[in-house]
Formats: sequence, C-alpha cells, structure tokens
Amino acid sequence: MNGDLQPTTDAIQRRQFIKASAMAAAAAVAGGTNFTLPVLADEPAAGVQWEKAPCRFCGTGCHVQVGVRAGKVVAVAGDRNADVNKGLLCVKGYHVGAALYGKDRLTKPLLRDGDRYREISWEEAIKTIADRVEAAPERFAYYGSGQWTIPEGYAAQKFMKGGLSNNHIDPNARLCMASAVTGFLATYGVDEPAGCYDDLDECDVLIMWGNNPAEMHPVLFSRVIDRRSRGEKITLIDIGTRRTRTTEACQHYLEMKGHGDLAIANGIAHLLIKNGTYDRRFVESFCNFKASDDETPNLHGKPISFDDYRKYLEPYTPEHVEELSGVPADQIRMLGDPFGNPKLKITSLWCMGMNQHTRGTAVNSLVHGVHLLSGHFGTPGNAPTSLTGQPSACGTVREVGTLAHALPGGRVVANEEHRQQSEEYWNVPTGRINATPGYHTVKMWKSFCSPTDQGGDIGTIWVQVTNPGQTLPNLNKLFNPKGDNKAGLEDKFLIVSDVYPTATTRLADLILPSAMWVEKNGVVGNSERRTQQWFKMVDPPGDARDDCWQTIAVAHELFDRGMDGMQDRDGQFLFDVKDENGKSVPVWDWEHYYDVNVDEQLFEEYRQFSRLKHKDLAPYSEYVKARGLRWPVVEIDGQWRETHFRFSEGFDPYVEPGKEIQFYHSSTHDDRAQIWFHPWIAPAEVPDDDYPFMLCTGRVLEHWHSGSMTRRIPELNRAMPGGYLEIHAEDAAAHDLRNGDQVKIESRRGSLVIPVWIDGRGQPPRGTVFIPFFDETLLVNDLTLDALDPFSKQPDYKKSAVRIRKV
Amino acid sequence: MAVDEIMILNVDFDVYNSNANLSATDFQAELMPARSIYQGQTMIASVVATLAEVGDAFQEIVDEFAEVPGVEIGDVGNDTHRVPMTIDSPAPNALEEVTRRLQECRGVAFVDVVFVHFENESESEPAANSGEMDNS
Repeated sequence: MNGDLQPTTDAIQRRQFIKASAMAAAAAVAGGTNFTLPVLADEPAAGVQWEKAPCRFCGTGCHVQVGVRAGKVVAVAGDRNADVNKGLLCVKGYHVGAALYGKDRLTKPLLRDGDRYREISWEEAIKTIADRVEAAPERFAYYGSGQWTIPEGYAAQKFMKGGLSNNHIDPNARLCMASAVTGFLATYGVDEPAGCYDDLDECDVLIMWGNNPAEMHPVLFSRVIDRRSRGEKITLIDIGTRRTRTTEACQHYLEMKGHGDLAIANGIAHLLIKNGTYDRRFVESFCNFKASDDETPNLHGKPISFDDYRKYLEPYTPEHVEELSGVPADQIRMLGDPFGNPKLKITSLWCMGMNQHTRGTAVNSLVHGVHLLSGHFGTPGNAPTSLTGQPSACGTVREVGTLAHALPGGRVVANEEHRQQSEEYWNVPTGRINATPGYHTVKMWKSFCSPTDQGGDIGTIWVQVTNPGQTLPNLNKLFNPKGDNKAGLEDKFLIVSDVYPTATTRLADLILPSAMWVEKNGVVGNSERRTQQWFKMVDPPGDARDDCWQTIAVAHELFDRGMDGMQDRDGQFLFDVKDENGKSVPVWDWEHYYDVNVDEQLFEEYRQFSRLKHKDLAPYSEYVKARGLRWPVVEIDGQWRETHFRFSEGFDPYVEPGKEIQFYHSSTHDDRAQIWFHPWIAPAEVPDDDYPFMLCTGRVLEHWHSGSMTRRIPELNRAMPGGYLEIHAEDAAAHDLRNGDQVKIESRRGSLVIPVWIDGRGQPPRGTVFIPFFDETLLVNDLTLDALDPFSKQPDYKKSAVRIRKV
Repeated sequence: MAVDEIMILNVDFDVYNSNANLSATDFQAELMPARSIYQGQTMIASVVATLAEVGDAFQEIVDEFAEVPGVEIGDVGNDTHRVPMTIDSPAPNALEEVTRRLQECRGVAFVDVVFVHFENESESEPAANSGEMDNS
C-alpha cells in the first residue's frame, strides 16, 4: 500500500471483509463445515464473480474457485466441493491467478525478419502458416502437450490426421508419461489407472516409487499426512535415488541406484513366491504370465507359465537385489512383507522416476505385476497408480490420442478398423487417415534439426503450449542446431504459440500470442480419469487468442484455398460449427469464435470416440455442473454416474455380474491381466572414470516444469531464483566445493556452469548430482541423454554420466 | 532487463561460504539477502496447518503461529489437528515467507493454501533472459 495515501474507511472495511472471507474459508476446510466459498460475492461492493476451474498447473486436477472483478482475476480459493482437493491448494495456488499477468505476455503475432521480429496481423500469421502447410503438407509437424485442453488437442488431431493425412503430431507428454501408457497397455490391454485418489484415503501402506509428491503433488500428499495427523496408522515408504521432502515424512527410505527399481520389483515378486505369500486365487483367476520376446520385442511379449516366471525370478534374492539396486537386503524383505499380507491395503504411486527410464515400460509393468501377484488390486486402497505432471496429460494426450501412432479413444492409426471408425465420426473420405505412424517426439525434432538433404524431412513444426527448447533431451542435438548452426537448415521454419517468451520462442520464425487458462473455455482430464470443465472468465491481453481458434483458422485458410483435406465427405469445412438454429457460424473469424461454444461442439463430437475402450464421457453439460467426473461415466436411471475403481465388480458398470474382477480389454482376450517378467538391465549410460557422477534432473516445488509461467511470478522467482547443482557433502569436500561455488558440469553431450548447493532441499547420495530443469538460463538438457525406452520412445532424463570441476 | 532481475540472477554466492551446511530454508533466505518482505503491495490469504500428533503441546504450537507477523488464528473448535489461519501480507512475496515459517513451526506436518486475494498485487515481472525480442 502506498504510504502517501491513507486507506479509506471503505477500503478498510473491504479489506476486513476479504479477511473474514479468507478465515471463513480456512475454518470451513479445517473443520469440515458447509461454508460455501464465494462469500465475497455476497458483499455488494466487492463485485466479485466466482466461477469454478481446475488449477492451471499440474496433473493433480485441484479445483479452484476463481474470483473475477472488473475483468481481472483477483482471487483464488480452493474448492470445497471438489473431491480432488477438498478446498486445499498447494503454494502454487497463491499465484495461479497472477500467472496471467506477467508484464511480458505475448500480445501480438511476431514474424522473424533477420535477427529481429516485426509485428504482423493475425491474417498474415495465419496465411504464413497456411503457406508452409500447403507447400509441403507431408513435411509439416504439430508438437503439443498435456497442457492442450481436450478440445484444443482434438482440433489439432483432427486437423492433422483427419485433414492433412499426416500423423506427425506428438506431445511433450512423450517425455513424461509415455512409459506409463505402455505399462498399462502391456498389463491390462488398455491405458490409465484403475484406481483413483480415493485410494489415498484407504491405503495402509503408501509406496512412492521414485516419486516426490510432497513437492510435485502436494495436495495429494497432504491428504495422506492429514490421515496420519488424525491418528490413523499409515506406513509411508519412499524408494528413490535422493532424499527429498517426501522422504522426511516417510517411515522408510530405500535409497537405490538408477534402474534399481527393476531389481526391487523382481525382489518383491521373488519373496512372494518363495514365501508362498502371493495371492494364488487372484493369480489363477485373473492373471497370465508374460516375458519379453527378445526376437521381436513388442507389448504382447510371449506367454510363459507360472513355473517359468518363478524360474526367472529365482536369482532375485534380497542379497542379489542389494547388489543390483544398492538397497540393503533387509529393506527388500521389509518391502516384501506388506505385499505378502492380504490384510493390508497397498497403494503405489509413481511419476517421472519410473517413466523417464530406458526400461520405463518394463518397470511400470513390474510394479503392476507385484500388485497383481499379491492380490493388492481392485479394492479401495489397493492400487498401482501413476501420476501425471500436466493438467491434461491424460485427458488430451492419452484419451484424445495426440500421439504419432494414435487416434481418439484408444485407437491407433495402424488398425484399419480404427481408421474407418475415425473416418466415420469425422465424416471424411475412406482412406483419408494415413496408416503409418508419424514421428515420435525425439524423431520429429531430430528430423527437424537435420538438413533436408540428409534425411531431415520435417520442414515446419508448429509448437503449442510447450517449451521444447528447454525440455527436449540432448538439446545441442535436438534443438540448438536450429539456432547455433544454421548450415543446411535455412529451409526449416519454427512456429510457436505461447503466452510468454521462452527458450523455444527465442528460435522461432513465427510467434503467436495465446490465451491462457481462464482466458478461454477449457476441458481437461487429470491423473485419476477425471474430466473437468471451465468457462472463459476474462479476456486475454492484446491480440492473444485461443490455441484452438488458431488451428481452426489455419484449417479454414487451407479450406478457402481448396485443399481437399479440409473438406469432409460432403464438401463442408472440417470444423463446421453450427448455432442452435443449425446455421454454420464462421468461428475461424475471431470476432465470431465465441458466438457459440466451440469447446462444447468439439467435445460432443469427440465424446463419440470414448466408448470403444469403455472410457465413456458424459455430455458436456454434465461437466458444467460437476467438479469433474471420472470415466467411464455411464447413464443409469437417468443419472450420469462416474466410476471410482475400474475393473472391479460393484464399482465398474462394465464388469459382468459375478466376475469380481474383469480385465475386459485384456490383450489375451480372456479377461486376464498380464504379469510380466523383465530382467534388471543397467542404465544406458553409467558413471565411469571419465564421467564419474550420475546426473538426475527434475522439478522443484516453486516452479512448474520449465518455469515459463512461474518464473514470471516475483514471489516464486525470488523463492527459487535459479538452477543449482545438488551434491553430497563428501563429494563436495572431495572437490573442494562450498555452497555457492561455481562448477562446470560436463557430459558427453554438453556442459554447464552452475552454482553448488550442498545438502540442500534434496540430498543425493555420493556419486549422484541433481539439477532442476526450470531455469532457462541454465539448460541442464544440454547434458542429458536422448536414449529411449524401446516401446514408449520416452527418454531417460534421470541417468546421465557427468563429471564436475570447480571453476 | 530491470536491475532487480539482474540482482536476482547474479546472486553473490560468497555469502554461503561461511557455512557449507545451510538448511534449505537458510539457503533460500540467503539467496535473497536484500529482500524486504514488508514493503510494497498487499495480499490476503488463508491457510490450514495440519499438525502431527502433538498431544498437550497444541496450545503452545498455536501460540507460536500467532507470533508470526501477519498471522491470525481462526477458531479451531474441538479439532486439534488442523488450524485455520489468515495471513495479512503487506508484501506480495511475504505469503511464501510466512507459509514457510509456519511450515517450520514445531508439530506442523503440512501447510495447505485455501484462499488468496491478490487484487492489489503489482504486476508480475518478466522472467529474466526469457528471449530478447524487438517488437518494433
């Protein structure tokens, strides 16, 4: 408050009222009263309008109430009516509203002109993109993310696969949860967790596999801590490669070497069989056994018998697992005990630690397998559950299928029947959809950064809602050549839609200003199969516009030019949107984009796809009323009912009566899940004499992913201003390092000079260092390895061999 | 680039060298030696502190909360595991600071945010070095 101005009585009263509202909200959450949050709306002078929305940041899917006054977001409150967060938010909730108001929001389309940018009109921007697409549609690629809303991702998907017959569309989620997808597919024949957050309220044992929810999914972790503070007995076990804030709250910490998780999971299975404590009835009733088919590796593998499985596991004694993982044998036995106890309810959580892994599919499958083998599956509190880091990694990437091989609703381009179904829903000519999968993320960027005459056949990439210039692995190879070494790349063209300047816009040829969060309508899907909707509440700044509109506008420009792909079978525009009278609305014209609810129409069209894999979605109007619904959402007796636990009788409407557990998308078509054996295999790169440290990368509490939003929030930027290297005190002493010293860290791919933090927030063991990736001035991905999981094509950001020296 | 951003990104790390084993909080505090949390704009927030098993120490813990500047304790009723509080913050960045202090109080397992009103908050800053662009 300006000290020269005395606050007026009205201002004081208003402030007191706000404070009373804040206290009432907190008291309601703490005490479980029925207070409703939009109390500010009750004050006539406040003029605050409240509406619901999911938080913009992570994949937890917390619901917030957003307070808007005079066209600006002025307040945010946790939504008491939301099952996900029950009124609570993490500290990023302080700033989710302020993230809209950074001073350097992009507000005009900008076209590179030599080393400068010049403002251009949207018309010129759209024509520029259309020129690139029209000239070589097969060389065009779309790179999106799990921050695309469902309608945005669906529009991009339809534009590419249903319009251009081009499958070169992939999301940044390839970098964060693709191995979770392949793990679910290999095990259950269908993607996404069977359990949900309710398991956190029921479990007796919570195991975090390379996961740090205290910082990455704090509201979920708080939910568990709250149970303990109320006197409930719950055992928390942290399996990780460094101590984190999560470790502090756990009774057990199992510190493993990279890829130790493969051995640990096999060690648990070994103990269950050796001790006879596996769930024989569950296994015989609901499971098969599989192993890798080394001759033709695929997600079906080869069938094996229980005896084969037991034989494969024999070497994984606790002592052998200790050798492989670094976890003491007695701790392996400690971990095996609860799995052998049918009275305990066990939930496993994981995220990047298991997914960013060159054996990511394998370790995901093994953890599912441990739950299946022990029968810790299918009842509340018994679930293997992967978490996601983006608000719609599940809703958009996994369900809409914005992946190079996928079509909406769990379909794949390689399947003729799936292509025909999609062509039918899209009303496009038979054969329009290309049967060949497009390029996955790493391959797409490698092609873009390779000269055309050397096989670099991607000429143009359009990036929306993500920051590959900071987050791709091995950046010097996959991104920086576009900027630092342009020889042979002059014909490449990078288009970036974003809300702020980023490491990616720096190298863009065309920058488009986008609307963000409650500046547009949206629908997203969180980590527990929950689909969530919100309405636009404020206008975007300047000429910023919705990403979905941008796609539709380019499509229509191509339609106007006569491109066949932008027409359906009837010659109508691919994105023909009608008003309530059935009259087409020119939504490609921004002035008319909000004449109708484009989101609703796209969602209703997409909803048809959701039934094949029993991921049924309710009508859009149901999500308007709800704080999200978990699919399958099925209409029963006139009510749309969500599903808490999938594959379980009594919860999942698609399980036949009397089946108890039914894996109705089983890859073996016998309603059984697959328990896999995969051997321990060393990481793709391990420390040696030249590069003696293992580098792990990750996130921090204050900054969300690459920091493009959170670093603009002064409070968060001050709380965590820059990147750092965490190192063990003894390793630091051996290198004569003290806190704040600068070190040069080098891998075989790049180097970085960065300050040291000894025994900091996270505490790596000797031989391991950690660097967060949020700081675009210290690009840790110059160092990381681009080795991939063979099935998911997800890179391993957690294990790169490096060396350090004081500078 | 504004001067304060340069300062933020070019922190003089020599200040740490007297103590090689700073806690996470100390480290963060040292990163912002010139930071003044009690100047500037205002925000109001509320939080809920979830307490670990505290037994008879409940009132002492609540008293400790009350000593944190800007914090006001709400009615806890019969529930002694969750404490509602408001934070009346005279500076935008004070919310983080106060939340951190509450988190570090004895017996606190977790602090969750419930409500934040930032109407008077100054506009957010550009992230430093986030792309030089000439819009002319």
